[in-house]
Amino acid sequence: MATAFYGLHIAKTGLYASQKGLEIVGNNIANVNTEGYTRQQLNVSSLKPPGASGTLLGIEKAMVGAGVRVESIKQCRDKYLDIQYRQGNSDMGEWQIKADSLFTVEDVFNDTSNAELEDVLGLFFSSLEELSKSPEGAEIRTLVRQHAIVLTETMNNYSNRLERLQNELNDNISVVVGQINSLITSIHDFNNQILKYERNGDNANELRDKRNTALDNLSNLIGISYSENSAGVVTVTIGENNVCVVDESGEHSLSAEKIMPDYFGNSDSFYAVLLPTGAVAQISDIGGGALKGYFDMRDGDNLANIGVPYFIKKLDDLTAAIVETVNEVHNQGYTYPSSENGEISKNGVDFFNPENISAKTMSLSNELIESIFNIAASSVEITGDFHKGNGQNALKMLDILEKEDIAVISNIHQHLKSIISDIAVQTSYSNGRVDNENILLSSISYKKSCVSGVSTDEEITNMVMFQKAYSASARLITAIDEQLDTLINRMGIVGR
Amino acid sequence: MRVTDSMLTSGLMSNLYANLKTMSKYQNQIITERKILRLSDDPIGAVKAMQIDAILNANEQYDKNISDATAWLDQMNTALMDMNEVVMRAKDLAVQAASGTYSQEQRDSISQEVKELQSHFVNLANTKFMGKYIFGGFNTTATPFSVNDGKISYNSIDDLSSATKTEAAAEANQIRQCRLSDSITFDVGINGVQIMGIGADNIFNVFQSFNDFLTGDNTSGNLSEFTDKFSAAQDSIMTHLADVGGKQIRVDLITQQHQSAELNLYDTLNKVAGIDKTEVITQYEMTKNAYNAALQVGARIIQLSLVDFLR
Repeated sequence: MATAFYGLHIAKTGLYASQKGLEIVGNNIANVNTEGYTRQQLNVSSLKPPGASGTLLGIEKAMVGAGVRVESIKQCRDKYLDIQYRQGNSDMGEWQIKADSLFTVEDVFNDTSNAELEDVLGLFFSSLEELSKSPEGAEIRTLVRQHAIVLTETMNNYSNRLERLQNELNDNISVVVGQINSLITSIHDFNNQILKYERNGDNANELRDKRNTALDNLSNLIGISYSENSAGVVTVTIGENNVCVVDESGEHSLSAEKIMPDYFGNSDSFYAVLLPTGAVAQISDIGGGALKGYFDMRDGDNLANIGVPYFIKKLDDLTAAIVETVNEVHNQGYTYPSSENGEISKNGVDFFNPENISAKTMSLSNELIESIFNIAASSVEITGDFHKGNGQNALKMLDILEKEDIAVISNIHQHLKSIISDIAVQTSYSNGRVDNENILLSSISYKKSCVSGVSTDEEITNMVMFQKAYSASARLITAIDEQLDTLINRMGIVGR
Repeated sequence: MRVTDSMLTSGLMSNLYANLKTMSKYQNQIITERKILRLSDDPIGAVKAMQIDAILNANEQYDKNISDATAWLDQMNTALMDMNEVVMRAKDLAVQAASGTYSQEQRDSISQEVKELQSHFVNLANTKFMGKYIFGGFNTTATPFSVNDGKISYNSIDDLSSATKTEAAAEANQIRQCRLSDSITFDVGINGVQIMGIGADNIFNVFQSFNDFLTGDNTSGNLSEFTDKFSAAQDSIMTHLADVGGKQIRVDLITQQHQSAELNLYDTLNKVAGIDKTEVITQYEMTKNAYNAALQVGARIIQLSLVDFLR
């Protein structure tokens, strides 16, 4: 036989449970807009009758359960969606960086001012045309040299801007490694806190939310995989070779050190990432994320991996084509005798500086800097006054620069076209990749939100539910109170 | 399926962003009147547009070359016409002198005129245009023809009457050229030595010997011979005129080709990189409507919740 106060006890558990439920509703609504918050749910179970365990002796039939027990407050989270999200987030991080960098490369070549390479080349060719018509004019020669200087400076400028972009990418590698390390540290800290908190069987929901956010952020920066053990400690590894960065034993940070040569061969200028073991990280050790994006863009110099050096190299090829073709023809021509060059008409003079040919260092030859009359427009030696109007060699330069069927070196315009088309196609491709990853990520986020997000309608419904349950439990206590009142105060006073 | 608040708001926001992005694209297209704002918008179109731009730029230069060549040829034409007049007058004088019985006085006055004509002819052969001698070949800066002691020299040839054919050919090869298109390198006009001719019958010499005959310094031959010689000179000048005229016609034809090619190029460029304003504005309006609708629906949906209906 249950005690007289048994009912009160049952009603009390009901009050507690409803109160807890209302608190959870409050917490959920308060966090409706909190980033990374996972919806919480009350997990209750009914209590078995007292003494029902063990022997059945002396127990009355039809014992009523002892009420309700709050088991835990659980999080509504789909771990499989987390894995999907983090994989997508790594790709997103990588391609976002690539698209951003290529956007800048595109800006270099898509200059809206009048310094577009195509225009500058066009002006240089035009000035050569004018030279072929008026080789005896000092003003036309000045024009040719001026346009040639603009051409070399534009090439230098393009190459410098690409180099600057490459250096920015390099600096960012060190920044990202710093961010990765700070996330690794916080994941490790959360691991410890969760371990302590959950030792007594509680759920460290808020700490888990924070750790999940840290993992989300980490996956954007580098390719990760992870697993959680029964004690709640997460082990994180990076890259395809699963190098461990966080486990039970602690955090193992990466570091960035300037030990690689840069594009121009200056040693100890580019960062390499060192693994916790001290080894230099390969691209496969990084696996993905923004860090891989920075590495690919900084170092990519072939068709399979198009990065900034690829475009610098292409510019260098274009420069070599211009310098070598122009010089070859210019060498065959004769200079114009003038007091500036000692009244000598000679051949074998270079137009552009033939040493260290690259877009970064492209410049005019010393002879041309010295005098505009060293532009060799004439096809024969100029003696006396005859042949001063000879512009045949200027014509020859134009023929070779613009002709389509030169086997030795392809047409300058074709060269430029291939650079522009590489940039356009690659930028458009990476923009497309970013769009796709965005769609994928938002669809996963949508699903995540579907499971973990807070719905105010639902919470309000729950609120009403818990409120009614609370009132009902309270009413039950009143009922039992009346029952006890009858028992205590009104019994045994019959006929009084 | 649960639909949560964050799903509604983020869905609304991403739809609004997508609409705004499209609107801003159309806006930029209308303002710049260009379809391709960045290379990556349309890689194939961008490269094609760049190619056409390059050809149009080059054509602009070729147009300049053409107008220079035209002016140059016009100048040659005028000079040759004047030369023709001079030779014609000399021929008339030769006929006059041959027909009547002229006194030495009359012959002297004819001789005076012939001398004038001769020096005028040399002046015409030394015609300058924009500061350059047009009949001097590659020698544009120094007087190509000069008279010394009754002999005429041209550039490196000291005396045309004793010049060899090889010497003359070397000078005649010097014809200024300019590029009128990618494939056409055009000879602009003719060379002075071609007009003047070499040997004893070069035009200067014909004047000279006629004059000598009139003044009595030279008695060999007869007067009717000079009529023939001036006729021959006139023929040769007419031939050169025809040559220059032919070149002028060719330049005109090339100009026409250029213009029609340019028209086609602009047309293609417009198709590749230009916009159809009506179409873009219509699309802009459609996107704007969609944006409006998204805003209105969004505003209504996110306003409502169960809270509004509970007492």
